[in-house]
Amino acid sequence: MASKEPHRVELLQGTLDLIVLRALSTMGPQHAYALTERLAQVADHSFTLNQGTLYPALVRLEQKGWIKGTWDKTESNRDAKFYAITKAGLKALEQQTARWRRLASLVDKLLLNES
Amino acid sequence: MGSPARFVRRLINAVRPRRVEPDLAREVAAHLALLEDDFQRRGLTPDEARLAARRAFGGVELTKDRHRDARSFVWLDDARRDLLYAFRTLRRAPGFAIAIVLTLAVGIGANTALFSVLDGVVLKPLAYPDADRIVTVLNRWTDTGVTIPRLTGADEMDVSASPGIFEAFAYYNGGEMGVQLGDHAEFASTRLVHPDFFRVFGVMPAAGRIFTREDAQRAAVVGAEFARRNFGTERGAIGRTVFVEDRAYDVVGVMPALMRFPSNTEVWLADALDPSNRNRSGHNYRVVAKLAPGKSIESANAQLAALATQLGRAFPDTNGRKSFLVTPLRDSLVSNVRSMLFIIMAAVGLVLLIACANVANLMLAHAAGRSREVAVRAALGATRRHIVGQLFAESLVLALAAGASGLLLARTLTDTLLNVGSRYVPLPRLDDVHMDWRVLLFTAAASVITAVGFGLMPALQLSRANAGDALNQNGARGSVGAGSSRMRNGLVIVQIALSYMLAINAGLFLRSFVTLTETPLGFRTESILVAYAHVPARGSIFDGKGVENYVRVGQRFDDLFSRLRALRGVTAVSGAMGLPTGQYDSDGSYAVEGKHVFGGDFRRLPQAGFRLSAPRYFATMGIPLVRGREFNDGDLYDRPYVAIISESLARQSFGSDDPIGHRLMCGLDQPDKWMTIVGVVGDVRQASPASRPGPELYMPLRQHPYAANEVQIVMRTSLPPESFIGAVEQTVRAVSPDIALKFTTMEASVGDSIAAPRFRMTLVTTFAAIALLLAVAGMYAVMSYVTSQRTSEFGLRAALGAAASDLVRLVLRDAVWLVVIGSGAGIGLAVATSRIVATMLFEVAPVDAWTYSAVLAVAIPLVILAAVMPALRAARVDPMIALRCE
Repeated sequence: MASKEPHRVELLQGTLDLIVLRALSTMGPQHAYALTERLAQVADHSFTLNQGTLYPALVRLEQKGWIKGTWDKTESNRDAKFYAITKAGLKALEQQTARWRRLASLVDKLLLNES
Repeated sequence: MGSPARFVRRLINAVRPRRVEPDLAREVAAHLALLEDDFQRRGLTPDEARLAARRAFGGVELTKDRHRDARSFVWLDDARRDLLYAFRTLRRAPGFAIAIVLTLAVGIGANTALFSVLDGVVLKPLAYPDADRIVTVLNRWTDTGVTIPRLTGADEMDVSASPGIFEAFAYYNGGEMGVQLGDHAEFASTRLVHPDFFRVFGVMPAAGRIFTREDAQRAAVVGAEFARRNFGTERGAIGRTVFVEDRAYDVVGVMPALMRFPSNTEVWLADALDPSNRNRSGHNYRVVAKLAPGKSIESANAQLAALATQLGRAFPDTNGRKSFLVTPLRDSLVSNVRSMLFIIMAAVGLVLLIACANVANLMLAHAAGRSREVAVRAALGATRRHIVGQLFAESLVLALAAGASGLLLARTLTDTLLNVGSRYVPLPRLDDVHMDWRVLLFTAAASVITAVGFGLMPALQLSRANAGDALNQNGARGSVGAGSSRMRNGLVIVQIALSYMLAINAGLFLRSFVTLTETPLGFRTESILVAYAHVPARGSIFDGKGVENYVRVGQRFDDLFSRLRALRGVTAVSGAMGLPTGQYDSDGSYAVEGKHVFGGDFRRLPQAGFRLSAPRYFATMGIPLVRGREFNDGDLYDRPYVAIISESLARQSFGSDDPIGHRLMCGLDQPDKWMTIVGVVGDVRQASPASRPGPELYMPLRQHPYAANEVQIVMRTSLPPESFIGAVEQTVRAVSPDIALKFTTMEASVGDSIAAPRFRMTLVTTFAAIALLLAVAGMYAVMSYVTSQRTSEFGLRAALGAAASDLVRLVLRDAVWLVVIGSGAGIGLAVATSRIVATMLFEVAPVDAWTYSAVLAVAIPLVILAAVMPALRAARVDPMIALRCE
């Protein structure tokens, strides 16, 4: 069924979840399009987020109960599904951030020592 | 990642995706709309914006797929979709679905039921501990190889005394007897057994104990059901007394329901340690024994063969050509029904085979008919896994439905078989029969594999083939080559051949059965009530004691007959011991005065059936008196002995001479008295309508008192015989409450005697009918498929001026060919199997031309007719529509 994906800059496993959660916690409820734009902005357009990656991540997060999607109107009066971070999501963000920091500093340290 | 909550949600989504899917579509659409807005703001035209938005978003379907992937389990989702699709497809072709499900259900159900019975009766070991060591000993004539399941009393003693062979050894004899219980009497299956009898079986009593050697001629063990019926509880039976032949037996034990050996025995009486009849010519004692641990049947037989040789030298007259044969008890129990059950099993197996062929054919035709659909799906990007998965789902839905219906059918059939079977056929071990799950699994697996296998095979072929090829083959509509059409035709021929063979054999059984029911029996059966009556009497024929008791019993019976004659509506009354088709049988050798000496090797003497009868017996039974006179009230114990012979016996011993006045002697009870022949009567079929009329020797009941305390009273009535049961019972009770009674009618008795052929005939005919139906369905399926493939060709022919009848002929020609080849093979198979069924036929040749033609005269048009409907449909097709199919 699904054909092979072309190669692109890949996010580390789990980091997309973290980024989405972070974006939602700072910016409040967002729809998928706005999230894409926001991520592109933050990343300074160094990578484009494929929708084929974002949507599954949203489903994953929603099923875990970390975000919740509700239908609403955009400023331009279009229907869109707005995702908001939940309490459980905030807690998970905290844990995931701490975990990420630990991991990142570990990797940093390793890279420094080896050079 | 794998939180349980998410797992549950994914599962739910896999099963019920309805809400999620439109939501996703809406979300994607919104996303695209927002993108479009953006692009328009940047100055693109709406059309350009839409395109740009699409491009920016990437693959919409891919995203949706990924979404689905994340929100549920792909394979589960696929399976669900395939199943739904399968249901929908099958709903569109309900005839096909029903045909397959029914075909498989019959195959599964009938096989499971039949095999369960076969397994329970024939294959499973007996339900006793160490059942493989339980054996019986047969008497075997070394010159003819014929075996008798009974030993003489003296031989029994010698065999049981052989050292080292048996751990326990017991003789038994008896049958239905009157058992007196103080205030009433009851006919019960009763056996006189050696006290070691229960040690052979090792069954623990439900209450009390088994026999010890001290119990000889004093104690009884009864069945649990008998105990409850007559004493309230099992425990309550212990210490009570039952009387048989005026001898008191104290009940010391109660057997659980599983112990009924032999043939539903309810009362076991401890007999003497040695048989009372100790001669070497009367084969009166059956034997059960348990082999010593580690003793093989072969070495037991070798040891007994040596014993037989010794005895042969010592007693050349009686034992010169005699040997003994140790056989597993199970084998001897089922030897009568074994061949019949295997034949029935073979019939069912054939039905399963035909069912599988049918299913294969239907699946082939169905799947091939959809080759275009599959090709289109493949062209639109469905992967092979998807296509196969979907066809697999379809086959699976069918198979599961068939499995469920098959299970249902198997349960019902097993119960029915047991009910019918126990009523009509003396299947010896019905208690051991349960529906067998292994068999169910086996047959279900066989049918499901067929269904799925053949459902998938074309799918694999098709999905492997280039989709373009399939699409381009417009004329042929599907890439179905000569190979698969040969296969389909072959399957139809196999079905026709097997079902015709079954039908021919069923026809033979049917004809044989009809002949059986129409055979003149030599006596009348209508309006005759039969009462089995037993009056206890004490004494032994072997020491001549108690004869006056027995003579008195004879008087009581005569008294009873005259009371019964006085009943209104009863036109004639008599009695006999050894009524045709009844439960008692006796035969042996006789000597004619001046021709033979009664003694020495009895097997050199002529043989006859021995019957006892009261005065007016032949008139009551409608057996014609050919010469001489009937027995009369003057033929008593102290008068000159007389006998009446059947025409067969007259021919056998006297040829064309007049037998009246000649004298005979036989070993019934008084081997020292000559009996004068006073009459000749017509021949009867004694055991059943299937038995040949043979030599019969009739003697007066009153002159042979030892054999005459159990009598079958026959009453000719002017109203339905059953309506007299109450009145007869009252009359008998008034004479004495200790007379045990049991009723039947002559018609029922004759009916019971041909129960086995009736059962066999019914089953085989049923299976043949099912097989024929399946063959018809198979032919229909194939012809429907072939004609649908050729729709455009027919349209063209019609457009070019072919008449409808030409088109029908075109289709039928193929069908006729299949039937011709199939029936040829079917006849061949029937002839090949005729030797097996020959032994079960009555006065019908196994290759009976009349039956063969009659069956084929019905079966051939039936199967050809199945091809007519598709042919007509093809002929009616509108040429324009047919051509547009291109």
